[in-house]
Amino acid sequence: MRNQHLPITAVFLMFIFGFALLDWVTPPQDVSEFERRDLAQFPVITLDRLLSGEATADYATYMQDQAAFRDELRFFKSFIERRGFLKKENNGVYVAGDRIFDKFYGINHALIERTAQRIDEVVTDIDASPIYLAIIPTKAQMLDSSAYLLSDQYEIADTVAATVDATYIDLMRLATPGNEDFYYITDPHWTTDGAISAYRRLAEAMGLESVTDYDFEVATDSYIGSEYGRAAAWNIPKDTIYLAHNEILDGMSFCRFRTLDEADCYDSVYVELDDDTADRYDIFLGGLAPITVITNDLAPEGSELVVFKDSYGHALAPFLAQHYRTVTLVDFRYIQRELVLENVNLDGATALFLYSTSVLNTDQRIVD
Amino acid sequence: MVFSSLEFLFLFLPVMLLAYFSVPWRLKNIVLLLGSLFFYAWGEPVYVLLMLFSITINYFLALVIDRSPGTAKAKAAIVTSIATSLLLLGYFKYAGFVVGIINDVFGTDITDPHLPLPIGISFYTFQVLSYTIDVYRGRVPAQHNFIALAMYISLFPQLIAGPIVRYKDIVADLTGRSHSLALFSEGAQRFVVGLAKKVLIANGIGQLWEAAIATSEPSVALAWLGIVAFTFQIYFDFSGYSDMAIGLGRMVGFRFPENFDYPYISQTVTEFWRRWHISLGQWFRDYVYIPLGGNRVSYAKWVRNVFVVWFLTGLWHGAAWSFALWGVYFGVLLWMERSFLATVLARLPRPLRHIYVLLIIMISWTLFQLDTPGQILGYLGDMFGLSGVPLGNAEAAYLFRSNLVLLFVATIGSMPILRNLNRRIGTKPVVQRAALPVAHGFLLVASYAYLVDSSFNPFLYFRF
Repeated sequence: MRNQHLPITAVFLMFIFGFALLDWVTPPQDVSEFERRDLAQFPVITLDRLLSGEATADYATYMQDQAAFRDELRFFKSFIERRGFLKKENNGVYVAGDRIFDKFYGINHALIERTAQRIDEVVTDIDASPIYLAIIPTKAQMLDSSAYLLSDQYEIADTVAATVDATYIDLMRLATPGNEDFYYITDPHWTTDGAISAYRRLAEAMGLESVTDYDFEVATDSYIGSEYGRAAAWNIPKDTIYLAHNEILDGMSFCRFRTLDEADCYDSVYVELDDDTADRYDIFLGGLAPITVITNDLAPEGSELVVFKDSYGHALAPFLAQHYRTVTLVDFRYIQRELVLENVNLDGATALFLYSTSVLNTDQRIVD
Repeated sequence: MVFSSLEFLFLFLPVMLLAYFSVPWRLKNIVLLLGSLFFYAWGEPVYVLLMLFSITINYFLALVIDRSPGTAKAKAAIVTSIATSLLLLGYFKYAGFVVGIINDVFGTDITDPHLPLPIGISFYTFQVLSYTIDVYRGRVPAQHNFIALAMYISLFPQLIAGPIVRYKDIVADLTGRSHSLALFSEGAQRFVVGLAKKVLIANGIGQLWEAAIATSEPSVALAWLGIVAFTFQIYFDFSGYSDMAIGLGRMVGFRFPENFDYPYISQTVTEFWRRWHISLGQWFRDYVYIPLGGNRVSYAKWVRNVFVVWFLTGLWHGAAWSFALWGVYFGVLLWMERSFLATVLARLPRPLRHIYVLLIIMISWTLFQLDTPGQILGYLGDMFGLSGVPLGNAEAAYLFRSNLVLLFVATIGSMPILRNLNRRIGTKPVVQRAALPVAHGFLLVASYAYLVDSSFNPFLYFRF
């Protein structure tokens, strides 16, 4: 047995001293590009925090976040999980081929019913007409349900459609096999292709003649969506974000209301992002806001659309705005219902309730 | 601090090893003691004082016993030692439980103090007791060197989750241990295997158990899958930690007793308890069962002794009736096996005996791990198809497929197959010089990768 003592001891000591040294000399990073989050920094050490255990707990998080070769190790772990233990998922997302899919499993029936009732109350309260409803499936619906653990997203769409007194437009078939390009590889959101496809279906159902003529510009070919860091798979390519252009789209402007009185206004529906903006999807209407108003001076005066939506609406709304003078986007997760009813003009407007199954299934804020 | 953490692997351990092997022999115990106190204070910055109090008072009490053996003074000292240790353990671990019983029985409204349990108190209290009782019995002399005694009780490898090292088993190493490359290498190998058992297997399979108890789609198959997963999780979690403790001990020259010996290959429950948490079983045998008379008493008293020991064993694991019931459950089975069942079992084919033991163990884990009678009965109802749940469903099928390799690895790892293989081919130079170092290096890096990416890293025996 003697032969192994030296090599094993050497391996062990190189491991603990080597990584300890690397941890020590590697400068701390502020953010994780792949995980799209701020990384823990060296904790504040005070006697109180030491005695309460907070300082040591924070230090443990700091070591985890600032571990040398953190990204490589996370990818290695994912590799062992998927290639060694033959698991289909890592950190709660599926890796199928060279694409990432959300693990859509478990339906919160109580929340969905409450949310649907709340949406129906809004439908009753507003004077808009006509009123439409559409539910957006997540890309997980494209997966083979015999091989992956999935819930039936149609259950959610059916419940909401049956409860809300609005004209239901079926977008659920967007997420069927063959339509993979409608969704980003590394992010839950739909691509510009997906948004255009949804727009065509909506336009058809709303009696609008859809615009088909677009030029496309590559905004980035290295988009890292929110699922990329969770999957941590070497074979997954980064995404390309395409921006659609035509005369109408290029003439639009929009204002993003942070509060009812404060807004940032832009003369394009595509926002130039700082280099350090983690979520490049924010290029579409600047990201989440309580109220966003798109103006299209080429559309007939007085034509108004109000879209009650989640983040999927951002990539879609400019296409709908090709037919309306103003499109107002309302996100109930960031503004109270009463404030919307008091401050947003809904008289005579067309209304569209547009929510994804993932938000309906998990987000309490539409109800609250 | 737990061994399977980055702060242990890349902060505490390298600094500790560097300091320990840099100082001359006369300072090594001081380094180990200071390191152990730091290790404990990292997670318990206040309760470290409680441990120091326990060490100090028992140091002096043992000296009193040693100076006047067999006298009333010695008796008073041992009574004080036992009472102090049990009162501290009782106060911090069982106060809420006792208050609950008093309130239930007498209809009072005493407030539960909700004391946080000092980490490892159950383990170090038993070590302290083994020391003073053995001194009282004259089996070992009192330790005059305070540092050596303090180090015995607080020694970081076994402080938090054992093995429960009895003083007489380690006294020689406290002041006269030797170090060698061979011992260090054995320790490193053992540590790496323990780390991998904990991080790669226990944590992974533990998520299957978590999924089974959190499901909204229960089924018979999922209930069995879940309990099989927990059966593996607790074994790889606890035995992995014991492996790491034994390995760390060897690195610094200590030979701790074994705590596990492939318990799931047992063919009787009696055998299982000879292979599971061995140091705890031996402690109860030496300090409770035998002092009560063991089996050299009347049948009625022997039955009493069995039930007292197993009731206490259950309560040692946690301050709740479910733990007491878990202990008594094993008491009944051991009594039955000793009385008649062992003879019946001996006539059965080996596979049936294995199935019997595993079934008993899996049922016991529901008592052990689930909190309320409703949860326990509900889960058992699901397992045996008594609660109207379907036999199987998509979730059970997916989780089974998804964890098949892990279940296979866990099955192989809970049998002595790899140990036997190592004995056969482990002497070949290519295995020693290349395969084993590479394998250990891989396990280390893989464990590190899992620790970096994991938010699921519970340690089941921490709460005891």
